[in-house]
Amino acid sequence: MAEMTATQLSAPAHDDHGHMSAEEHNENMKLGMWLYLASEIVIFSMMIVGYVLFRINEPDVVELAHSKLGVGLVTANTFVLLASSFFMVMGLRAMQQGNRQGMLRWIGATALGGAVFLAGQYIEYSELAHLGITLGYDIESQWQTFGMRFYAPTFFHGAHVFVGVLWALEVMRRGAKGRYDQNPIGIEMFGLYWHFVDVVWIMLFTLIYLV
Amino acid sequence: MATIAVPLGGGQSRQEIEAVRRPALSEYLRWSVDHKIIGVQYGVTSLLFFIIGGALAMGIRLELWTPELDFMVSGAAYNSLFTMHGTIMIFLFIIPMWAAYGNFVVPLQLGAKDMAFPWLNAFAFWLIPPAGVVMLLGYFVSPAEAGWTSYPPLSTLFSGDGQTLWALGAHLLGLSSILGSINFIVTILNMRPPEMTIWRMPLLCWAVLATSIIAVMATPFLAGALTLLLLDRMTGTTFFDASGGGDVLLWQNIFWFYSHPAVYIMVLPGMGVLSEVLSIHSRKPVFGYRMVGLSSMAIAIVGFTVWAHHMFTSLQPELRIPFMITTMIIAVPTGIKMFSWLGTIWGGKIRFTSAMLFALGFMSMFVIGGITGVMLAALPFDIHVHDTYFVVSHFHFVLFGGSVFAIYAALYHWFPKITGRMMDETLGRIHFVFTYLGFLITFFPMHIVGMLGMPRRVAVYDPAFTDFNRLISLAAFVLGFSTFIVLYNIARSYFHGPIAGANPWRALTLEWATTSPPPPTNFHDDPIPYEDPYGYGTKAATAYIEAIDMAFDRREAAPSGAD
Amino acid sequence: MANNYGNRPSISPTTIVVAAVYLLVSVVGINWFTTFIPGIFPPQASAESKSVDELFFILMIVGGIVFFLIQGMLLISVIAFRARGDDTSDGPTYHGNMVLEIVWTVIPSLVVVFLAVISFNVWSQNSAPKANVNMVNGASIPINVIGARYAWTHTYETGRLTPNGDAIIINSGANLHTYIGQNVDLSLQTQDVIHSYWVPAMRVKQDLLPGDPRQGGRPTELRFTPVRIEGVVYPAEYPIVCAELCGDGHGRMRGAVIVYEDEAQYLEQFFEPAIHAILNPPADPVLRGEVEIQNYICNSCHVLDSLGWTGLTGPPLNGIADRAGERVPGQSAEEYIANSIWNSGAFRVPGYDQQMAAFGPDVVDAANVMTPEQLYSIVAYLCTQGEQSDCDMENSVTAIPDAIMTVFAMEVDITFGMSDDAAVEDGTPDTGAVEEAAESNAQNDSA
Repeated sequence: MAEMTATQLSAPAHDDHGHMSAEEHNENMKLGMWLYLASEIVIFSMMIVGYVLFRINEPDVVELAHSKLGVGLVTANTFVLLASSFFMVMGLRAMQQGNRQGMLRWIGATALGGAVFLAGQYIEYSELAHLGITLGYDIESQWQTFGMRFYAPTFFHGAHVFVGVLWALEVMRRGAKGRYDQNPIGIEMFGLYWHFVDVVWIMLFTLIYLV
Repeated sequence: MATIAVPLGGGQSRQEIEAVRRPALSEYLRWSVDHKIIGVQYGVTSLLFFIIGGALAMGIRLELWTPELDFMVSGAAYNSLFTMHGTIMIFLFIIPMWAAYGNFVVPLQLGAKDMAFPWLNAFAFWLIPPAGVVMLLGYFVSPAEAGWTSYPPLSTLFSGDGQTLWALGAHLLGLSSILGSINFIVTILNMRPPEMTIWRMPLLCWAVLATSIIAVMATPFLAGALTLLLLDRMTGTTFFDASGGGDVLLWQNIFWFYSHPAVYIMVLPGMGVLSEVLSIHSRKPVFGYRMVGLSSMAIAIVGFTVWAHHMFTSLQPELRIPFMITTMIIAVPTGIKMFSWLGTIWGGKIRFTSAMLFALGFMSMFVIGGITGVMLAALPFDIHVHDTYFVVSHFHFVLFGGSVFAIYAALYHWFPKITGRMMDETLGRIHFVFTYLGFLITFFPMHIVGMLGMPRRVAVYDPAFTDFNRLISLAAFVLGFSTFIVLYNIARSYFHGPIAGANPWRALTLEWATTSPPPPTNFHDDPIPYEDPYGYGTKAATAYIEAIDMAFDRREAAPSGAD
Repeated sequence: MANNYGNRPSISPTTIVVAAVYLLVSVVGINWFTTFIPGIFPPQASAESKSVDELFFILMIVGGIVFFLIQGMLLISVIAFRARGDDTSDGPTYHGNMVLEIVWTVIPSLVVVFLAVISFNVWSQNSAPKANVNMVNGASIPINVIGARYAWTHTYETGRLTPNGDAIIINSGANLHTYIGQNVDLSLQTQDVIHSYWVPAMRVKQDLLPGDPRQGGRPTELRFTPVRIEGVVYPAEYPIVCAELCGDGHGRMRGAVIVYEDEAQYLEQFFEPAIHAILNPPADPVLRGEVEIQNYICNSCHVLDSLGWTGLTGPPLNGIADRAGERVPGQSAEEYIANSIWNSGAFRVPGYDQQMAAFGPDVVDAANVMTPEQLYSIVAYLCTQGEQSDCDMENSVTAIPDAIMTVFAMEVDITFGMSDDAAVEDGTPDTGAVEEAAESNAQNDSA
């Protein structure tokens, strides 16, 4: 009896034996990326909460910072980053329509946007250093611990933008070789990441510069 | 007739089955994306660190032989001893050891060809050896001395460069844990065969899923805390320095928000192993399968709400009560598991294999850890025994009596699948007796010493506790010795153990429905799981097991229709 | 194969008998367990300890029931349900029982709710603020505990004043003095890392948390009330232990709670003698220095055999006077000792990498404030620690103030008597007087 079951009801073999189908692969990539972003959210929220608590406890220092921090540069920077997110979407769409050159142009624009953002952040940091806002604690300084509360989240975000720019360049390199012609999932992954970095910045910008 | 299916019933020839060989040893020493290779890499690495951590524990017990400082050169040297013992056992032994079993077994149980992200899997593993080396490098500068909890300001303003290395190492291990867990979640959720609904999934997969969800959500807190610690140590920020506007309790809150869930990261996979082993070796379905699976999730969720019970002596008094209540609640899902296991073996046909002995040992020891856990949740009593040997005893009952016993059970249970050879059962039983008695006599008296007034982490103690400590040390040396029995057993069985065959335990889960060790692609065809992973005792189940035997081990005896 | 497919597990009469016997054993066993409870606790020396122990008793009963239940079920299972001989059959296919599962979810839930409620009651009773704390002579005096690596310091703000108008603060070092029935309310503050103040006999524990010294630190509170234990001779002594890892000497960070029989005994043997000693400091700077130096936390880091110090992190002070003149070129022994106390960062003894805490007239930590007079007496005392002191013992009365002048450009106003007949005059301190002072000191501490 058992012998019969073994022979009669064995499983049919899949055609793509030993490999995942592209669809399965894409599903895995997306879920994995979301989980990764979830863990990133945790780290960012820790730093954001750290800043919010400081804001509540030391309103004077934050007032002072607001009066000294020019919001012009950083607003421009925010628009650059937002625009780069839009370029990103356009790049993915171009690839989905089979337009490889278009994709390369749009992703290139995205990388450029990220680079401009980083340059802006560098200029801003220099200005702040000039004002005496340092990362380390200085007992003499009027800024108290504003430096570390400010630099920690913004620098951590900047590092993410930097990684994003490198990633965009890698996407362009692979895209130029035709890697995404059949399956643009790689671009989509980068897109998820880039939008995440963008959303985090909007939160930081609102919390640190606006309210 | 019920729908019964076995994998590999068709297409694979006798030659192909016989051609399956154990991977060459050199395979294990280089980069590989095969989850089975990576699983063994994890396992052997963890075992090495287990030996190092165990040697450090022996050093601790040697120092505590007398109430004065004698074996170690200074109190600081002693502090580094238990700091490294704790860190190694938690971050470099138990957590990666579960990644070892998870890696080897989970894809097989799901009938998958590999993990969802093989490359990422290998990357996560290869973060571990360098992280361990970075931590141990501390011994060449000034080893970390602030305990595995590393409370600032002791770990920031008052310790040497070894502490920086410690934090860097822990950071890498955290990253490895996050990446590994993402891989597990995606694999378990996305790569099951169509026949295997979530309610037909083996309970080890449930446990690994719950564990991985905890790890993905909690480990980033550790990463954040360590980042701030490193900034404080290296760049002059004052996140944890009260004289610079920081707060020492910030560390404790973030650290325990990770580290309490980490306790469940360490014990939940063990609970999954227990469900497998108890059911298979007593030949009876898991009692209340759904509740066992769901209680893993309940533990994972409630586990996030209890962290501050580690801070009962430092937290503002009015905040202590809520954490007492949540901590007590977590006893309920744990109790469900315990009772379900009892229901599983009750009325079964228990085989006293080494794996089963360790699983039963887990139950009898873990229950003590559970009871003292509820005692520790009772705030007024905790105030008395907080940071004493009572706590040391409690968490060893959970992490040794729990996790390590389960690790041993899993070793005896899956070793045949991993190597193709059986472990020596006689040695296994001797190992169990030494471990069980050594463990009990080592850790049970610690409850009493703690209640009588001995704080933890001291090299110098009240001479009134000398006799207790000598008893504990003697038993600890026996416990340490017991490790050599299993190491010898592993080495001997690897070369000389009896051939295991595909399914030596006559189990129903899919990892047994392939050769031992499995071929590089795990299965020849897409396997079809049995409708109930633990449905022992039915004709259909017996037939499924028979069919596996027929397909792999007694093929020549099968009727001609077999091909 | 003899498979009983689909049957429910059956319970044989034998199993029921075994279970009944086991039940009896566990009831006796739990009872027997509980007789050990007093033996696994330290003495019940506080009002709090009684309620904590009662709570533990209940936890032990509940825990004992769970323990015997589960171990018993395990034991019965492995005996009754073992596969005998060559039995290769499977067990019954039994997937669960909803009623049973609900039972073992609901009953433990109710039990933990019960335990949470009684724990809450004990907690609110023990942690409730009390009226009339730290009563001495009808007044409530603040008692402060300072934790510093690796020693405890207890100070009592007596509310009285010296003739000069300075507040009289008793410093009783590592020991806390109290009496039966006094509602003790301690304010705890650490000077460095986190410590934890634990008195096992009182069942109380509280961490000391670093705070910003400019904002008064981050004091925490600890309350308990000593009670009488029959058959104990008072004053009785109970250990104080540091329970939070604080570094190298963590295990040595100890002290004692000294409980007097009643307030009268407390006043007579501790409080009044201590105030008397403060109001009447020894005239001899060496003797005064010996008292003064013990008011600081020097013992936590230094070894000094004549005072029984066992600190580890700093250089030993035994024979310091023999070496002091050679440490820094151009500095006399007096100058070196004075400088290394008030200006502790200036010179570090080779082989010791930890910076000593700052002492001086205007340091942040109140416990480290040291006036020039105190410095003078401490230097005088340390100058006697050696066989052939480098200090100018012949002229110590002027040499030390001169040294302090040289180093700090600060006038030392010697208000205490520099009587001509002081023993230091002839270069060797009057050892008899030192011993006498040490004796009276020891009495103060342990009486």
